[in-house]
Amino acid sequence: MKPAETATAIAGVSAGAPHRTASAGADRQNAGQRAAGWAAGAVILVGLSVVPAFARNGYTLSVFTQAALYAAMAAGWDVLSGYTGRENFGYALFVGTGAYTAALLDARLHLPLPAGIAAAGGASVLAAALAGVPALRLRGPYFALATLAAAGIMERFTLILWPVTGGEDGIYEITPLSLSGTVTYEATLVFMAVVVLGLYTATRSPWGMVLRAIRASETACEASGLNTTTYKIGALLLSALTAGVAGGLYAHVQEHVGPAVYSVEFSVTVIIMAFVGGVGTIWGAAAGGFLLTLLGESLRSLGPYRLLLYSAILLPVIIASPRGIVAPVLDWLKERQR
Amino acid sequence: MADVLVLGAVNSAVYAMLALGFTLIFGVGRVVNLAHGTFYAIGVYVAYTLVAVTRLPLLAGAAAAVLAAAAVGIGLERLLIQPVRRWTFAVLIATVVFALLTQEIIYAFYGYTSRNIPSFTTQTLSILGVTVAGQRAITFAVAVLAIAVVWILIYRTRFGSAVLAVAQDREAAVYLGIDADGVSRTVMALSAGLAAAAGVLVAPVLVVSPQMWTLPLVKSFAIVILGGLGSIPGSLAASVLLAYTETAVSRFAGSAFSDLVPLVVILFTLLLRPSGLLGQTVEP
Amino acid sequence: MTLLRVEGLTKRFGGLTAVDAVSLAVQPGELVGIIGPNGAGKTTVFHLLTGFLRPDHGRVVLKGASIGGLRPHVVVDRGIARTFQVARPFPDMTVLENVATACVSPRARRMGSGHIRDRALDALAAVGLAEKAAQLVQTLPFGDLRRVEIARALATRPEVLLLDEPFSGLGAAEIAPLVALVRALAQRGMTMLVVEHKLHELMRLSTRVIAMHFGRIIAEGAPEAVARTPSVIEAYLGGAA
Repeated sequence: MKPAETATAIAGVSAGAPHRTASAGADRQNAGQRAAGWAAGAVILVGLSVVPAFARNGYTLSVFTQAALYAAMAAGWDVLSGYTGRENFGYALFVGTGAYTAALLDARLHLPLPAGIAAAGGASVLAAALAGVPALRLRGPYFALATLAAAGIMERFTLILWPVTGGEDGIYEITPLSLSGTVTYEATLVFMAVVVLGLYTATRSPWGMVLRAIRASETACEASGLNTTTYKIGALLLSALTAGVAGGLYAHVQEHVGPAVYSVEFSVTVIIMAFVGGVGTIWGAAAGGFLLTLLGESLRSLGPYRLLLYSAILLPVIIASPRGIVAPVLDWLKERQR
Repeated sequence: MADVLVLGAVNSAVYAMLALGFTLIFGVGRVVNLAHGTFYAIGVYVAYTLVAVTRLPLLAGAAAAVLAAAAVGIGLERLLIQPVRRWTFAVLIATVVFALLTQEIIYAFYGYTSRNIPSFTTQTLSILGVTVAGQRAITFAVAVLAIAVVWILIYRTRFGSAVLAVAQDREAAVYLGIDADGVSRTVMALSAGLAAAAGVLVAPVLVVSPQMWTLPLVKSFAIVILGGLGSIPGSLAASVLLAYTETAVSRFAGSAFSDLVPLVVILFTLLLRPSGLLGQTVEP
Repeated sequence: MTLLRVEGLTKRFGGLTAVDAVSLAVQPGELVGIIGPNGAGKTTVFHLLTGFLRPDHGRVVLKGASIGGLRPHVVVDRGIARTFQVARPFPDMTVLENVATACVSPRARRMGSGHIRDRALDALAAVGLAEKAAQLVQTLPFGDLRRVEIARALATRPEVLLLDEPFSGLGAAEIAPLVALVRALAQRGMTMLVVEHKLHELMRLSTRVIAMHFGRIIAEGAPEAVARTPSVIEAYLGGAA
């Protein structure tokens, strides 16, 4: 009996059979929820785009610009770490490589801005291919430590290669993204929207489903005929590309790049943002990035005690909800609705 | 050359103290404690406060610092790690945020400027024709003593058997009636105490600042990964290897490069031989 | 034509020879039962056939092409699918998604047509789980988890289906429908290898039975004949753990 005939013969069904429409009711409910989600996203995006009209000064606008960047970065982190069971604790490696590439190409070689940012993405993907791909064999804390070490090594190199990288001080005199704060903000917002939309769509596709399955059981995925390595590499490179371009934009928005962009604090900041927003959702991570950046700035008046308060509040929250905040809470609410 | 030998030996002993506690915690709970370096820092700052501010004798201050770190360790284990032990990711975040929190608390009290811890002694010895600071000799002696005590504790006592049982199979140990959570807490206290002691011993020659938790953490990782997570003999062997490699690199290439050594060790060991020299095989 | 041929398959772990020069041939449409006490090497043979372990010696040939030592997903692509002794569902995903992932595999896409979702539902219908498609897989009873595994394997349209202790850990009420499912698959011509300890059920399903002990095949033939072979009886009763 030919294999192609086997399953259909057993099922004894053809297209349009009763079982295919059995779950239509649940599907309609899901579609309704998804539509509501898309609508909410659209409203939020429109709202964000008119922020410049209400911003009191250039500083506020620059905070929002930063928030959009961090949102994109957090989403980029999430597509690998929230889906494949490979938690990246050295995300700064990708962002930093992008940032320094764009900064060097701009400040030292005076390449046009778009070329620099494209190169930033490319450099980050290259770094991912060299350091990340071999590390994908590891999982859990081992992968986390390998990525942590890789980022740390690059941080040291910015100090060792100080004639090129400016050492502790870093690189100044970077061309701003735009002389107009509004244009800078809108461009960054567009980037964030493209990233979140793109990654969200990707993770809702069959490809994304396989990523989640890999996190659940890599062995079962292999047994289902899926080459898990290709999927993991895909997620890693996508994550690195997002981070690299974001890093390049970061350089042109901040107009300065220093070793801090490779630091453990940077990596952990992005992780916390994704965690608070909801790991494994893309939109949750982005929301966490955006909101925590705004929150961080609003607490700036606390001066040196800001990070202290941050961590003190965060700790009990992590214990109470080890899988994130915003998205799990929404899931819980959805469950209560049923 | 001789000074590299001597310095390497002292560093080996100190690193071994640091790494031993770390490997015990991982072995017993599969916990990667990113706040391990924090105990080191706590040891230093508590000792400094008691000695410089309250004029307590150095030995008493050091002892109190070790106990304080142990207490913090128990608190960390009980309040932050035990509730989320199942989720590796949550443990990683919780411990790293705790480390950041402690850093900020220290900064709030002491600021970023470095402090100076007085040495235990300013005498010097002569070993192999090299003048060795008395401090370093004491460090070596105390460290070796501490390691010996831990070794006896693990391999010659009933408590040690419980530790080994939990490290091998936590669930099975619980079925046998062993209080695995209690073992984890005690091991954490031990680990924290060792790290704090290492800090107190080495602090007089080191930069003391709120961020000083990162370097011992990286070194502990490097040692434990090289030696094999969960392997005590492995940690000891790797401590010696790392200490001597660093000392040699520092002597011939400068400290900027010697800082790279532990990071490179971590990355390349994980990529080439994740189970380390003597560790349990890593599940793929 | 022999569908699956195994010649001299051997696997050692240190000093222990888990599988010792095992040879067998499977014809299309057969249901070959594999029995033997714990530790006989039955599941190890499955691992070797499906790429989860590499053989030290021997060949595995499917439809004339050698597949020994290939990675698991490649073996599936060539046409061998398996279930696991301890079911490995994807937690936090629906039953449908658990099967749909297998439908994303290259082989499933080659062999099937239509939307992934529809093909997954077909596979679920084949094992009688279509109504539970939207449920989270961890809410299913044990017997249903076994069915999900089988559906996942079927979704890749295998030439040969390997079932690893499909009836273990199930009560009498749950076993009967599962036995009926396996029988239905056999009646439609699916070639299967089944490892089982529930000898009663296996004997009645199998066209042929292979008995293993200490990594070797000690008897082979019609179920009743193998059941009466002295060495087989001794293997089960003679203190082999």
